Amino acid sequence: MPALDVATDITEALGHQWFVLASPGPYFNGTERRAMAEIIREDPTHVGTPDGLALEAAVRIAHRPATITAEWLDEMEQLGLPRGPYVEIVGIVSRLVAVDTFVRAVGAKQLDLPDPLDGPATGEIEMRAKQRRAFVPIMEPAAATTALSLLPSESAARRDLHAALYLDDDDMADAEIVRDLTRAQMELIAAHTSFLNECFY
Amino acid sequence: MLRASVDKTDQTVDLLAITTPNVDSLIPHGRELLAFSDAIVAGFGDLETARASAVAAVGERGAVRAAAVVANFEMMNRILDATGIPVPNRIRAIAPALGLTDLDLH
Repeated sequence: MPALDVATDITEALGHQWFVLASPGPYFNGTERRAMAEIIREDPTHVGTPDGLALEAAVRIAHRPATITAEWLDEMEQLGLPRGPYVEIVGIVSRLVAVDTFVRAVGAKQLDLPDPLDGPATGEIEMRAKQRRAFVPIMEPAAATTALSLLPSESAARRDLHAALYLDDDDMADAEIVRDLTRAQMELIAAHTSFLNECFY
Repeated sequence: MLRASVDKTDQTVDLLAITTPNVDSLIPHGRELLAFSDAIVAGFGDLETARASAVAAVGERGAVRAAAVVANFEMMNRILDATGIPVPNRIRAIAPALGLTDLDLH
């Protein structure tokens, strides 16, 4: 069976995510960001021991996210990976997994990773974010939409991909929206996927 | 949101289908959509077969959207687990209907 025909808005959204991946982020430059993506893809058995704390965190987020605890993050911080860079890694890895999952699911060939773009890390950090109920500093209230709010560029990239694949944040309250599937069908898939990933949010 | 969308459109749903195999969700084409999700996320069954069944059930655009929703929640599940956003009380309230206990929600 050939790959499914994907609408232009999704294709363009995936292209944008590749641009974001290759671009300098708040803490990591484009080369470093791309390297994390490469490690995630090259360790499908999840048993490798990547060099460096950042890569160790990336592999855990990709393959064992339900095992992440505040205590583990505290240990990582003591070893040299603060919460800020960690949040950027969460953003990079989560979106990479989404793109790769979608491409595989529709039967298409895995996308080649983009070439990194030049430039230093941006340093764009939301200084008002605070760590209270979540594992990382956020702009309250603690919610799916604020999980990456420490880093505005990562939060924006999440929002963009979420809107292309599922729903815009502003449409989330619309229980009757139809987008190729009914809202009920989309929610059934969402809930079951989350159950399979042991994520009960 | 599943319950809200079902209530708004005068449908019924068996939430147990989210967590328990072979339970009919009562959502149109729910069986094919769940099988497609299983194949993508967990490797249960053949992905190509599940994709074809999803296309037969909801059309090509519907199947693409199903793939997209799975992908989105692969992203969101990781973000929520990795950042430790607390499970909302509304989820705890429906845990029994999903066949889950409070321990499952840790």
